Amino acid sequence: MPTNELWSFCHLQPSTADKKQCIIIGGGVVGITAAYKLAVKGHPVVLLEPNSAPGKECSSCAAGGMQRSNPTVDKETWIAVTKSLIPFARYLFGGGREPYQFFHIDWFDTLSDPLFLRWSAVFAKTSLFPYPNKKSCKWNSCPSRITLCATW
Amino acid sequence: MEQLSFTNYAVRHLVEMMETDSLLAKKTGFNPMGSLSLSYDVFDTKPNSANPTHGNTLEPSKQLEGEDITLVEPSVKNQEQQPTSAKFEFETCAASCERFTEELADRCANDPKLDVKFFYDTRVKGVSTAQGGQRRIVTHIQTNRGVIDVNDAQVLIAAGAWTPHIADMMDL
Repeated sequence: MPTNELWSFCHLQPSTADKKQCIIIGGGVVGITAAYKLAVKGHPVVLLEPNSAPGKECSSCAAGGMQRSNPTVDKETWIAVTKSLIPFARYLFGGGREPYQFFHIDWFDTLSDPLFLRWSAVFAKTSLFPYPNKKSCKWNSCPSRITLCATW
Repeated sequence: MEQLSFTNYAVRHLVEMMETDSLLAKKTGFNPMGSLSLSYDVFDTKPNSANPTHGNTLEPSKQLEGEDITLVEPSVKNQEQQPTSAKFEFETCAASCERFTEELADRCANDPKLDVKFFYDTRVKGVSTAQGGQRRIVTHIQTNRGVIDVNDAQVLIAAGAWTPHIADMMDL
């Protein structure tokens, strides 16, 4: 049975011509902004969020858009990312089925894309061998790291 | 490209909100000064070299070299190694996404004129749909706190990376 709050929303506030009931699933930046905008226009909104506060998942670390970057990651992360990109990786390398199938890859287009191949090679190189010149490597003076951030 | 177009539209809309609302801009640390990606590799200065961001991005940018880089970002002068070139995305803005979200949530919760009910700790576990004409209509939303009878409400999925999962529940 629903809680009293959910039940009361469902049965006490029918939509009218100028006030549409809205249910928003997700309390991140998009959900909250949509709720705010709809409420400003006079629409009653119910927002469902699985966490205890708004904006605590991706919206707490997003930079405001999609970025293609080539971060230098550790070896275990590189293996995990590479496995997630390979079809049937769990049969080859073990592990469970990735439940939500975030990556939808057209393998013909992807493997024939020189930019993807270049990215893969650079991602592997910088993650597995991140410090080619360890003695002088700082963030501001390490050409391999800065170049990667700048070009992909 | 449709997703990128929507992202472009959404980001522009958020930027407009911060440009016109100084309190929101202050809370989020809004900075409209653009972004600079430095390159230290001679390879990148070749005009025809492969640069994945050329042609595949909606973000307008221009290539800077030499003194032009320090005009945009004077602190580059202090770097041990000087960049060979830079990509300047002059329309890029920066702000804290988390603080932006929190501020709007506070306004929704505290402004009596805004009718927004927050149900935290409420996870959508299933969705019932029915065929309504040519479209499928959501009739019930099952959560860990009970079932919502959707009636004639409009349902918006704003679950970020989880959206495909929710859409899958709805047979969409």
